[in-house]
Amino acid sequence: MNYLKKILTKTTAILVVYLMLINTALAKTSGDSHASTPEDNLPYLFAVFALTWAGIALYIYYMSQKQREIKAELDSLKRNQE
Amino acid sequence: MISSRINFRLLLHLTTFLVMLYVLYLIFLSVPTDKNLGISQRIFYFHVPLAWSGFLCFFIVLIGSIGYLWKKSLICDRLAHASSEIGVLFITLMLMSGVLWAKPVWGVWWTWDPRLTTSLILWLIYVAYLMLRAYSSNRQQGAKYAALLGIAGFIDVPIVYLSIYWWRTVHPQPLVGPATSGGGLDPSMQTALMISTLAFTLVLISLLVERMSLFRDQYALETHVASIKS
Repeated sequence: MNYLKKILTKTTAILVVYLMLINTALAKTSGDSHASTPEDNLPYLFAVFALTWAGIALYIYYMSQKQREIKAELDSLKRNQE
Repeated sequence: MISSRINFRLLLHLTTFLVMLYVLYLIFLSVPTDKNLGISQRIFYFHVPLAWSGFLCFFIVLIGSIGYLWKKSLICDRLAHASSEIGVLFITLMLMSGVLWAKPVWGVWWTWDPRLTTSLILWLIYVAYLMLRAYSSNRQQGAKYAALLGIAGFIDVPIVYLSIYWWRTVHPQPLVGPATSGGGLDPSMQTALMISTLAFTLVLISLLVERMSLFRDQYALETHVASIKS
């Protein structure tokens, strides 16, 4: 449960920073005209795919950490019973 | 029994992996580039399935929450909890992909459009759901309140879907689902979208199966520890 609290706090912090960065970028580029050639949009496509896989990978990592916690607790229980 | 369960999970993960590989082939090598939106249109094949999977997760939360309140079933509670985590993940990714798609298409990262705003509200509702569970000192009480929030929160899902009909919006009209006008999408694009939706649904099921299994072990361990202490 503590791990979930940490993850939630960190995720919220990351999102706040992300939104702040977007706001800064938005303020800087508000006068720019948007990309016109398909190649100009490639970084956006790359960012979406990278973010999606990174998000799923992070969640799998979170689950593996939880599994490790459970295993460690089980091992300590076994040791105590012996 | 355990062996057949592991085999099922292995088969599920393998199928998910293979379907996802095929989707990547379709998106990057097979589907034609949109004439108006250019290469950024390919974001669509991730953005829409992510939204669909997120909504499906919250529907599972609704079913699990009703099941828990009605039958006091721990499996329903675990299902709702696991599904809410995965739903938050998918909706986070959907919002981020939307932000990254909006910039090249609309010229802004974010706009307080009804579809975007209601989606953000949906995300906040289910983050609150997870926080409610994480910070409640009594597990049963936390599960009960979370179930109520899980049921009430689902009201926002049809609002997100129908927001583009109810209010003026810059968001495109839906190309799939019950409220579509039909047509407008190249058949090969439609096929890629459908297979991508299937792939993300499989990812959802894979994650859900693993998370449910972890919850089962975690609850069993906690119950065992509590019985030793008492």
